[in-house]
Amino acid sequence: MPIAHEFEYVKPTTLDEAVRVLAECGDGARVLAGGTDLVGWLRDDLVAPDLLVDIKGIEGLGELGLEGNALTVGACVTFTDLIESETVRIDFPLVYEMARTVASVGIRNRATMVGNICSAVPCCDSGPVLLVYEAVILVKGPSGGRAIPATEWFVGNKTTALEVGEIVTRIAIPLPEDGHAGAYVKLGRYRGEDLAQASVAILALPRDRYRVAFGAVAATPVRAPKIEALLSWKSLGDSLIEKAKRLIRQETSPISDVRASKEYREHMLPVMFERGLRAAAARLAGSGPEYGTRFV
Amino acid sequence: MHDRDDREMGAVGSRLVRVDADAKVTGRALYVDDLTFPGMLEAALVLPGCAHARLLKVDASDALAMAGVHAVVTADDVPGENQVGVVDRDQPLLPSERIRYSGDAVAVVVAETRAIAREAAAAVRAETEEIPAVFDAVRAMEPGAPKVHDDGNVFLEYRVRKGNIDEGFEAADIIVERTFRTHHQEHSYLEPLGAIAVPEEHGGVTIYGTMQCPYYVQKAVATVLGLPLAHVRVIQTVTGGGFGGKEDSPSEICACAAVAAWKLRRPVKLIYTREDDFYRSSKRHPMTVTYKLGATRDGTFTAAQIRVVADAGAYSTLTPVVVFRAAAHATGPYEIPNVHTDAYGVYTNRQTTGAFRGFGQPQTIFANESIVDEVAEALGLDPIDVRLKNGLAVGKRTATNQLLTESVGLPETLRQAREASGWDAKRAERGADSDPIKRGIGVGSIYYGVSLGAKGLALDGSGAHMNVYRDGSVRIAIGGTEMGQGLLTVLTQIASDALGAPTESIHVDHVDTSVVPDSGPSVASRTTLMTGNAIIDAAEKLRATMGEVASELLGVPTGEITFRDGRVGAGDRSIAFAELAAECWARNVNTAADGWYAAPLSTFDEDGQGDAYAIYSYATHVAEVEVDTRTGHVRLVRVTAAHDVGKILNPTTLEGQVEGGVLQCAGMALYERMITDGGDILTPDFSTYILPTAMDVPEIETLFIEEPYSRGPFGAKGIGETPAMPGAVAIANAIYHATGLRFLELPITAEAVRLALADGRGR
Repeated sequence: MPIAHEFEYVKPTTLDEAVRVLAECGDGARVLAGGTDLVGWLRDDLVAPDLLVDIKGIEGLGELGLEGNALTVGACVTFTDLIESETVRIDFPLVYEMARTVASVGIRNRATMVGNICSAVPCCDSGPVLLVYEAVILVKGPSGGRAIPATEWFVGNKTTALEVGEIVTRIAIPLPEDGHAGAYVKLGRYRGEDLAQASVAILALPRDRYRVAFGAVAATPVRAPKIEALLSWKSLGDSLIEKAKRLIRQETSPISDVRASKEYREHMLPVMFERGLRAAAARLAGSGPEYGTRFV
Repeated sequence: MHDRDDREMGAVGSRLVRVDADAKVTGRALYVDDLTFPGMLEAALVLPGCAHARLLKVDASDALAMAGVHAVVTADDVPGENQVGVVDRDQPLLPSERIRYSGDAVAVVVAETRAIAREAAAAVRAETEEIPAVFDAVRAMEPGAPKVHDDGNVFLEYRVRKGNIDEGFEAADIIVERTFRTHHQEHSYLEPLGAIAVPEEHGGVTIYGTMQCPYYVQKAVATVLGLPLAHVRVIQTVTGGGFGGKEDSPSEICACAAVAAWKLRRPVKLIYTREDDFYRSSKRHPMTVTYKLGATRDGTFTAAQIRVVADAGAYSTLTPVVVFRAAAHATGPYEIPNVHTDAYGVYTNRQTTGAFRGFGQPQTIFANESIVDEVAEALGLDPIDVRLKNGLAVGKRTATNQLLTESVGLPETLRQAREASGWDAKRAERGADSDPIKRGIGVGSIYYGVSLGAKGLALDGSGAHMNVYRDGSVRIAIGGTEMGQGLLTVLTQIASDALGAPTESIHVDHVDTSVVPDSGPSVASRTTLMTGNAIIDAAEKLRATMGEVASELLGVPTGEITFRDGRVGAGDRSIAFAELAAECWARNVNTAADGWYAAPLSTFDEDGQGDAYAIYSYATHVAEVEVDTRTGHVRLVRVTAAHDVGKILNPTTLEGQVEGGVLQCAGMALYERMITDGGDILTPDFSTYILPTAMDVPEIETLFIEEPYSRGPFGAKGIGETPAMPGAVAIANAIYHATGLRFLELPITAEAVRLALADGRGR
């Protein structure tokens, strides 16, 4: 099905130019990077922008690497870039593990992490992981730049804190200071590419501290502060894990849709949480399954 | 039938690389949407989306006012009969009074571009008045259910009566009875349906399209346009998958394009989106199958009573043939002395259902092969032993009381699958109770009547036209279709050996109905058998005429002349095939010939007794699974697939057929679920309706048993359907072995497994 709606297409070469044309066009403009969400929406007539601003010609947006003690993920960095980066694999293994679960190889070759969080569907894989790393999203607009914490980024289903005329330039993912481990557990219906029916990201820090986030079980990806508070500063044991599992219902609000029922999601969340938590703890201790292992 | 003693096997049996591989891999292959014609317009359909409604008015005024719109074609514009029913005349091409399902189209909008056509189609307003609908075939059989057609919803009934059912159950030590349900399955071919209709200056029309059955399309287009068949030429374009889905449905889309082109006197292209395809193409029939099986203590089956209710959807399309096949085969591949089968075709206000690989059998197989396992377990017997004990073999009789006289490879498929899968050891294994991952192994066996059988549409013959040019190159026109299964390759091999000409010198074309006579449909695993035999027939005629010339040239009696490896002659006196062709040309000898093959007649009386099909193919699949009891996820680890194919023509294409079928079985068993809400399909795409992907492929071991069929080309039988048949129930039986969960409904999703375990079911 061709795209029925006509639109203008520009491919600026500088960020300033991109910001200028975005500001001129207002809410009729959409930013195009990998296009794996946007082009599908265009073809299905779910969006009808007047202008597409292709940012793939802007130098610097493909940047991926450690800057100080944070990982810079430029707006044009694809999931394949993340998977293939040694820095990501070694220093940010949870990002690596998550990236490998996104769609299929062909999609990962185009789809970007920034695009993933700009689309902001509740099941976006990047969401829970950026929440637990406490990443910061850097945007640029006509009145300059600003930094939005990941915790404030997701506003609702397909809505973000991004203002009209603004563009995300990169994500900064801080490197936890004295080591960390993690696990990303994704529920799909099969091994083929699937949207998460539920997802859990666990970040384990030294001295029994944990960060936990869920995806696809609320209007946005969500952090789980009650679970984190319960787990923190305690040694992880069966009864503590059981207590934490009971809190999941307070942190999430899954619904039924064509992919999975609320009942099944509610059943799966504790199973996934436990698998992820045990794996993250084991990995922090230097054992546990290799990153990239499927938990479901 | 074909005397092969004079020749060695050459191309047949080899792994000849697919003759269409290069074109498809490089993108040179032209599918229907790649074609364009001068002055061509594009079309889109208007689907009101009602499940059941009276159609009061089609208001096209807004659409017609849009720039670039040429016409809005409705029932009033159909010059011939507004009818596309394949078997029964119950399906209007464009309904004018009543909408019976959400896929019914009331108008075809034609415009300069596809985008305009689609926009305009959305602007056409259908005024409708909803009437009560029925979405379940069992409910549709009840008195007082809304009637989809005025004559009532049960439009078809087949019965099989063999022996005495009461005595049979009397003699049984154990009787097991269960009701099973299966649901819609979408063919999910890569290429959605599409057609181009081109009006011709002589007053006829030429149709290009993706299809399995060009002669069905020819008939449908002639009917709606009111033209003689000779004025409708159908050319099959490169076809991206069929699986049965391109048997009946192409008639509808091609007829829509034809009516539009006829009105405007311009070429019209109509291509479905995937969503259109979900709404309008025929699916696998949902069936409710009640199966009651009796057996003595030693595992001998004494009686089977079966009731099959098939949901035909809004129109019967191929249901009469599908339900016949389901009824004839419903016992499974066993000799059972007393059989009582009733099978019904029932209208509902759902998507139409028709042909899908297996053609009505996978649904009854799910029932019969589950029950056989239950009987075996209740008697403390091994499931494969029970199958071997009762299984069909030469000298045994089917449910229709047909005596099997040759080519019955079932016992061998069971024995080889048992051996290769390590069945006995794995069956005995019992994992630790504490391990949340449970392992299981299960089996399913089937038989399948090759070709159309007694209640198929009348014609069961196929033709071929073979033309040898003066340089020895050969071009062959056929009536069977390549749809991705590898037909052109296998036919090239058959032609090569039949003519003694090298495979490189042979080209086989897609179907053009103006060249080859009506050859029936490319369905029912019949095409290699039927078209292959037609090619052999043509080659025999050419060998006779060309052989005479060779005899004269070489001074060798015609009886001693052989055609082999590109040379013709006897002993050391021979000439190249190409030289002989040149010599024939120089002597005004015709080097073109027509071939024809007709299937032997089949019978099926009103009690379902007779020789229902000329020959049967047999298969056994053994599936091994791992079930994660905490999540419900079933991982299909390994499948051993043993098939009796008569004769291997090309091991590579054969393996491809089987491996693809194994995956379709996995889809039916575990994943594929079309969710509807009234007339709305909530899963009209591959993000919501999921198919097994490369990531889900198990280890597959294919085993081929060659029990030759005396009438088959080189002894071959059909392979098209059988790979998609035994696997789903083998998986269900493996899940039972792993967990103790006996599922009565497919698909067995992770969610279904987990929720069943949470209910305390299983071990």
